[in-house]
Amino acid sequence: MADKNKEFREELLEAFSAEGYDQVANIAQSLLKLENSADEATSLPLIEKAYKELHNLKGSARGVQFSSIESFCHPLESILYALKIGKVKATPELVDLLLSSTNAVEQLFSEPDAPKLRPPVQKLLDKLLIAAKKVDDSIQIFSEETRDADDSEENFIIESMTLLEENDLDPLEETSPVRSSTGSLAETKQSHKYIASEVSRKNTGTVRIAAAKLDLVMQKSEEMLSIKLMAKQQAAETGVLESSFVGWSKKWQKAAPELKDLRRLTNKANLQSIEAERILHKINDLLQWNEDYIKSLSRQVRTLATSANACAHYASNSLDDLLDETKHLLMMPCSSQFNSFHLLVRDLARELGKEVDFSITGEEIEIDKRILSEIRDPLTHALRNSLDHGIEDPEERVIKGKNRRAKLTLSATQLDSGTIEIRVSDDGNGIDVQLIRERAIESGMHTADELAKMTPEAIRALIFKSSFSTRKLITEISGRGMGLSILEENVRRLGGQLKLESVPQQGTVIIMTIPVTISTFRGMLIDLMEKHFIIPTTSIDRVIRIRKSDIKPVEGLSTISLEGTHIPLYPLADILQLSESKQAKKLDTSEFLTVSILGSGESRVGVVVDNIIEELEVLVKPLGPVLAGTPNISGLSILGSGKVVPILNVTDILQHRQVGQVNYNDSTNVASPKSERKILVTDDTLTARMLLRNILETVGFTVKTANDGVEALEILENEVEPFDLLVTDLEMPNMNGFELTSAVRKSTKLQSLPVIMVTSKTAREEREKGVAVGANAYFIKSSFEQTNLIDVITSLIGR
Amino acid sequence: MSRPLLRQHMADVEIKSSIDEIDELTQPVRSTAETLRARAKALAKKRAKDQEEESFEIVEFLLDNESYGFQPQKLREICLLSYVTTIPCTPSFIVGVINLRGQIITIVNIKILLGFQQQMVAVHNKAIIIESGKLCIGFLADEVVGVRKVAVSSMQHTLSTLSGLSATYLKGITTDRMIILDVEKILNDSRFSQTKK
Repeated sequence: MADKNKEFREELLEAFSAEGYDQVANIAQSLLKLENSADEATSLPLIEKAYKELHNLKGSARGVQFSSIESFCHPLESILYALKIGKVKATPELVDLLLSSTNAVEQLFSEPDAPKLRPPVQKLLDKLLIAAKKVDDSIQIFSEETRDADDSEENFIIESMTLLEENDLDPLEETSPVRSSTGSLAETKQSHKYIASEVSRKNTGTVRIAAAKLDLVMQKSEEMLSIKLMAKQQAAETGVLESSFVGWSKKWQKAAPELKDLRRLTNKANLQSIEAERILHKINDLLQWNEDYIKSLSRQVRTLATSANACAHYASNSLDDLLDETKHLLMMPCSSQFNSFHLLVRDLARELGKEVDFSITGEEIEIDKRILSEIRDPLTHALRNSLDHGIEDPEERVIKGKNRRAKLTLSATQLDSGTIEIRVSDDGNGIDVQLIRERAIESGMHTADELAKMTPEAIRALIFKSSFSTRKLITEISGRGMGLSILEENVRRLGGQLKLESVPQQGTVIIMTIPVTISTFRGMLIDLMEKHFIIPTTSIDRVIRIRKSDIKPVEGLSTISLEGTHIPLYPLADILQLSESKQAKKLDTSEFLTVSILGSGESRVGVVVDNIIEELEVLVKPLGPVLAGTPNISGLSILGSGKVVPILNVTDILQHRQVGQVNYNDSTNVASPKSERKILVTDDTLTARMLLRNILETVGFTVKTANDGVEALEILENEVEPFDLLVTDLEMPNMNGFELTSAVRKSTKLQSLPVIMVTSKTAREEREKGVAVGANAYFIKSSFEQTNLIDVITSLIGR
Repeated sequence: MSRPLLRQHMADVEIKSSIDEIDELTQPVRSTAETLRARAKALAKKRAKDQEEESFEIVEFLLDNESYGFQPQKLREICLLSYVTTIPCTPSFIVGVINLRGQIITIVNIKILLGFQQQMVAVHNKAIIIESGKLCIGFLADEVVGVRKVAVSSMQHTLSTLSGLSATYLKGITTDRMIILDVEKILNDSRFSQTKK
């Protein structure tokens, strides 16, 4: 029973907190507005609102026996009541006290069972109680009963809940009257049925739902993307299968005349042997049967392909619709985030000694709540920035002839169905281009010459670079140089754009254009050294093909010219620390390079890739705790085929600084002045030799082959230029792999030659034998990955 | 052997044991010393057997010709690796990732993780998936030998050739040179709880 009570209490507390936070927020908002309201007409409704909310909060707190909050609510209520009936004036000090108290209450929600208040909080409460007493004393007629009578029903419900808890009663049973703190109410409670969970009387067409539940649904809908991709993949593969019948059909058609002849001849034939005749007839029949069978198969596959396509379409459309609707579930009005800015600006302005009129417009516009929470920090930074850097001290403003109180506005406007524009504007001192110039030179970011060539807009944009700050002194608020760069990054990550407009001495506007919903992730699938990667489409400025001759060295970096500016160029393989020789080889062979320009505006970088395959919609999976710290990689995606492809982190790539130039024209630029590596492949089967030779030659090794151990040994001993590696099969005639390795190790010339065994034998004893004779590595034919083999070879003999 | 023969054989055995029993019962009474001695012998055997039985279950796998073992509590499954996607810019102990029925799992080479020398590159085509809470990783393996009991008494707790690092992650090494891993400690390694810088 105790458990059930505990559970019930926990549920109650949860519901209480959910509602309570809203109530406290509303009270705070009303109080803030009250501070700024000039006359009674505006202040009275605000006081009323605050009072009502507080009253509800008090009742609920009492109902769940949340004593700490309750103890705050009592004096707060007294004071608000006094304000309501006009017995006390709303002085700034009083409002301040009330606001601090509501803040304290908000903190208390998370500690329902704290035995007593923390000292600073207790001090505040004491102060509040003193104020409340003063207020109480000045009002003669002031009784709980009078007040309670206003909201008897509410109170009743609260009391009932308490009742329920205390006595473990069934909510639907009738009950006898119980003693209560308000005597007059006792009678009215008799013989009333009640339902404990219905604290709120509001009964509109809305439901409260835990955000976590919505998030889960959203997540699952997004994961359905993989079903869509799989369906498409299947349809594609079935299509390929279907078209392979076309190949068969063609060939068969071509052979048709011969087949006819065969049949004709068999019928006419006067063959010596009856047996031969019989066989020919049989073969004819078989061929005919085969043709019919395959034709019928082809028809079946066609039907299958059609339905696979239909399935893919259906899945695609339904899932897109579902995703769309779920996204709309998550849309919330901006006000849910923006309202808290009132308090933030007020407190910050106070701290900085600035006087500000802050207004918010367009807060009813709805955005995906995830985007909303992503822009919370950037907006906070922008507001802080305006308050700290932009807006001048009141005296300074007066001297300049401006209003003492600065104007700060946060506005949201809907540009079109999918985009909204958020502006943070102030009428402060604007962005001082000169100051930025000075700071840039000071911090070594740019030289005076460079700055002279930059447009004012470009110079202003410098403030978005991380580590840039015009503040000499780092304070809590500004100066660390991170604020605006985070803003830029966040906005860009959401797929939006950031602009800055400023007129010196008149003000600054930060303009953010962001999408209303989070669209599915789209990326460009690229091929780099036979590995695949995905670059987020939003980070790609453009993709171009350049001639090697277009590459110009500028200040020690390879660059290309784009729209009049020089953009640094790097081989992507270098940035990702993939082995160089392969890409260098590729770069050699063609005159053209495929380059993907990443980033936007002033900060762009070009990366050389092997091939752009296609642009896809992908499902992004997080890296997980083991891989989270990996540079240059931001996530993983699963393609329709089930293959996992890493997604590149463009921010990291943009920050890559390569020392020195990459010489794209010279094949010897890679650090291997030695001649190419020579490998001997020994295997008794032709296919195996061809396969291995193929693999190794593609990578750039020189390959010679031998058919068995004896031949191999001969070649190894007698070849003028020594081999760097021996790759051998085990089962060979004349001399098998073990014997060969043994012999190699015994030979003075060859004893340090690296040996790799490649075989289809999986037995452990064989491997141990390999170790015993001195092999360096052992691969199983059926399961070795091409790249594994190459990696091992590279580690054994270099490139 | 065939059924009738087996039955015959069993019948024979039964008869023989019954005869033995009868013999015993009809034996002239042995001297007390003899009886006591026999009893003591029987009891002694039992205690040795008891001590021997203190053991724990170990899942054994091979990596590069070395034998490793760990307790199966966190074992989720064992899977055959068909395609491992390598991730650039990762530390050497990370082999890559695989797609296991829609879940992406990181595969690590326990040998490199523990700082052992890589002696031989071998099969590397299986992964042992370990799961503990939210963390799920796969250990690379050449072969999974199976589950067996390892006696506590056969464990040597330290090996002087181990470096300090790996010593903390091992429970010990058995007399037949199987390295017993402490999976809990390994999973709590800080390298497995990275956050984006």
